[in-house]
Amino acid sequence: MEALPQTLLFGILRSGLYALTALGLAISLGVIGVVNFAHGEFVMIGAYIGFWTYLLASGPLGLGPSVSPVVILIGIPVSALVLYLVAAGIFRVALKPVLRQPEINQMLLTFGLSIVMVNAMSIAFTAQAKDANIPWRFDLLDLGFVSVTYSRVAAFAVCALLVGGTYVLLQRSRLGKQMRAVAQNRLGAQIVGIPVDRIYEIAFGLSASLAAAAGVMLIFQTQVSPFVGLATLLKSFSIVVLAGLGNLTGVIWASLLLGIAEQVISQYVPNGAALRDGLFFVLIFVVLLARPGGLRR
Amino acid sequence: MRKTLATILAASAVIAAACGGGTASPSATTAAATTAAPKAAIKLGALLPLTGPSGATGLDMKDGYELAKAQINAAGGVNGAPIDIIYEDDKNDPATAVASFEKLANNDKVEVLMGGLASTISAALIEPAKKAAIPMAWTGAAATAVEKGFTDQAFFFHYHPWEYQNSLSALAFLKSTPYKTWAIVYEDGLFGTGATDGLKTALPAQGQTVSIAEAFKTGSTDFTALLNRVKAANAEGLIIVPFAGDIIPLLTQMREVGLKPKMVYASPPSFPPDFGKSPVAEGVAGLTLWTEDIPAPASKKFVADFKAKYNHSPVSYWSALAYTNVMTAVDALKKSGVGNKAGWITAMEATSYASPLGPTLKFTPSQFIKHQGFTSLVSFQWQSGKQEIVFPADLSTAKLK
Amino acid sequence: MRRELAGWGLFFLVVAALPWLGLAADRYLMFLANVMLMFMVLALSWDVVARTGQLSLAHGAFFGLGAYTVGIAYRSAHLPPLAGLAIAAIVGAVVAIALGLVTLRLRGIYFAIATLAFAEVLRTVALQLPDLTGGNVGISMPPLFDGDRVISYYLVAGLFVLAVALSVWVRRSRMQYAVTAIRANETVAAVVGVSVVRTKIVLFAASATLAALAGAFYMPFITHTDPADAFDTSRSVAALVFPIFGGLYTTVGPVVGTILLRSLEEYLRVTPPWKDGYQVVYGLVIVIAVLFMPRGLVGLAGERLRRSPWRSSR
Repeated sequence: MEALPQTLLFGILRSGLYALTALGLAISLGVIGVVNFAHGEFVMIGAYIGFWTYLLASGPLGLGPSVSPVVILIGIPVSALVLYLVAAGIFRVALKPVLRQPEINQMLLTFGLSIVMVNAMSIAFTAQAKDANIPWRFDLLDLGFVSVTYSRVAAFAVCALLVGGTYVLLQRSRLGKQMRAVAQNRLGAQIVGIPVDRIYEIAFGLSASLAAAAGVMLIFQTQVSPFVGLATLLKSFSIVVLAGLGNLTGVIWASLLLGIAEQVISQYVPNGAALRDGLFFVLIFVVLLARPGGLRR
Repeated sequence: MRKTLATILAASAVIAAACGGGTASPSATTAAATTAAPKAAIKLGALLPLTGPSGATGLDMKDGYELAKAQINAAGGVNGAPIDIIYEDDKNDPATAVASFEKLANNDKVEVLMGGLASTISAALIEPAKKAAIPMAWTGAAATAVEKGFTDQAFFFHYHPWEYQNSLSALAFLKSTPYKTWAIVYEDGLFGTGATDGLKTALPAQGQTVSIAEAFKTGSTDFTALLNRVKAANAEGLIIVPFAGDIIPLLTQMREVGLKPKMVYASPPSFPPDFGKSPVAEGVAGLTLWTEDIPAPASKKFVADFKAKYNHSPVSYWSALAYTNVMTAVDALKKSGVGNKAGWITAMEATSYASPLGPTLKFTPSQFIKHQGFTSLVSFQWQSGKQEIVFPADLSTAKLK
Repeated sequence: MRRELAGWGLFFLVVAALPWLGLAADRYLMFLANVMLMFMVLALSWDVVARTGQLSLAHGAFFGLGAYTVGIAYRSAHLPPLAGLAIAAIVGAVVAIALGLVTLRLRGIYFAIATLAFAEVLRTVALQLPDLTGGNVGISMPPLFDGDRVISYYLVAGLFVLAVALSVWVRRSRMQYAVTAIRANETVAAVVGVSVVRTKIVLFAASATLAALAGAFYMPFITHTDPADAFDTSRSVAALVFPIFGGLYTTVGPVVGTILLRSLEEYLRVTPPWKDGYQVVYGLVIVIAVLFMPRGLVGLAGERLRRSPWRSSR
């Protein structure tokens, strides 16, 4: 059991990225009601932008060891902005016309978009996975009972900050209130004069921006390839469903549950690292059977 | 608008329906493109994964094929006729691969079928291949089940070493090290499990112990819990059997949990690009068919030609293997002439090719099949960002550190 | 009703006649035709469940279950493929009834994720029971009908007829009222006397049985499978893409959707200059289809075909 504190710590640190990715998905699902199969691809493109930022900062700009914070400070705003514009464009051209169609059609549409994005990226930038050897990925921070890489801590901090910021935005700002109003009652929101389509567009853009930020943090953990989206998507869906649709706070709890459960299973179940995904889905299955609406109160 | 769209769809339906009858046309177009040559192009087929996660390796192979094709055609092709290679994407999906196999063998009527990467795909091709008995110069698939399936088939020439040959090469190297106890961490797919099952029985047989063997799912980003268990087992050496994307996270997280084995031996199908530049690479040993630094003259020429054509280094040994694949298959075709299956088989059997991979390529019987090409791999160690070959001694470029 | 049956009868005749019209001579096309019919079975069976408002992502899993049942029956008892096929149908039905019962209360995306979870669990189980399933190495077995793809074509065409029959029967029987009511509002349906539980379970079981049969055909037809291949999520996705493209809640829709999308993808895959970017084109076609034909091909053609025997019930 001596590994327990460490197991829990890694589980918690892990959940940050999960929460950030899932929050975006939860917003597009909660506010617009669109099941976005291309959400993982937003993460993927965000990761590529982060990777290019790293190349630029470490190559022509020659920033050396200080490159890690630069990737975060420049990569995240840039990729968030680019993905916001991409998502707003997608919303206007493709999503808006099908909003009144059955849910299933919207799913097929975003599924088609996901195929296009994955394959266009792999043609344009090859299918070869790329590694950003960012220094923080290797530098260790000694916490006494365990050492962790800076990237792990940074990823959690950045994600916590962005997730927290998004909550504040949704709770406090006028825009956030409008979004919640639209999420609760589209017609009512329209009647009181909220520009619903505009809110949808902003919500979809915000959702993509959060995914993009998660993508940038992903290059601190793993390789970038056009195919990182799918795994990200499945986990995010599971978190959103566990939380219960429309339950944004639940996303945090569900992410923590997933992060810690994965870590505990790998640590204490024999052959756990191979069984992890299977067992996690058993967990989802059981939760859904016990509470068909997810963990929502 | 809707009417137009309906028309388009109807038209595409007609085209799609006609595509079967028209399958000859794609190759006809490509042949027409090379009409500068006096004779009609000789068609070869290559079945590779070109999209999806395995697509990167497939495209690396395609680079090798295209380089070989350009050199062969520049040197006069096959008795004056240029060669043309029809590439088909198997999507790493058995049903797609079999469809492509039938198309290449029966509709395009290629002289030789080349390619092959995943064992699952090759396993699905066994029965159709036996029926068609088309000359196959097959690069990939290491699973013993595939070898068994092709037992004694005269038309089947296999280039990549089989799984047990990989293991023998690894075992010979491991035996040469001073370490007695080993931990194994492997991906839970066919690739990792196959290799690990072999090691688990063979290591004890040569007086070494496996203290723990743990599986993980490839693509996971977190291995700390797994590595903690490995640390508790306290082995001298660590063997990892991962895919390219798993290596850096594994090595980094070993440092996080304080796992410091005396030696790390990794045998992925290929190392990630720029792996040598990462701070965790130093001292890691591995198994490979080829590195771009091996001292063979044929290899140096291949690397130089490759860089001149593509402006980058070969991504993995697969491009060199693919290059060898075309060179030898076409050499045999030159000797046998077009449309002479039996002659091609005889000519292939007589192959003696100074390959860029190092050893001279000859086809000899292996456990089940008649024509096995390469039979062993080399072990290397990352030293100052380069892959130095450390085993076997006669090929080595540096000493193990 | 009669005109629809006559229409399908004619279609079956065409399907049956195809090998005699030159298809059998082309091994490539013959193979594609087998696979195409297999996917039609999968698409039709998925659509039947969708009619109750449930989005299943488990059809790929039932496909894999069917494949593994035949494979295990051969591996451990040397049962021939046809016997395996019969067992696969039973296994598919039993597992589907169990899954259907526990997921009864789940709707929409919750049901989708639960069925996806089920698929992932099955894959893990197949990996972790190597004595039974061969683990990662998978299972190989001799080819169906000794590799005669004309005979196998008639076998899978038989499954296709079964799938069409189920699809038409649900739409034309009293079941249709229950199905439509459940899709619109489960609670109201129950109040007006629809047996919600029974309807959902029966349809889910029948549908999953067909999916398992498609997988049971796949195993000896391809001769080899492993967990990654048998439980590939992309097959669950295909099962829903084809019907949506063709037209949901119909019988013609899934059939036409499968024919068009499969042919289009195969055409693009093997034909320059599309070859290099065929997946992009394929994705774009799906996007454009949703934008311009919200009710699928059948909806698009609906106006013109209103008086034809192909009419959908919507």
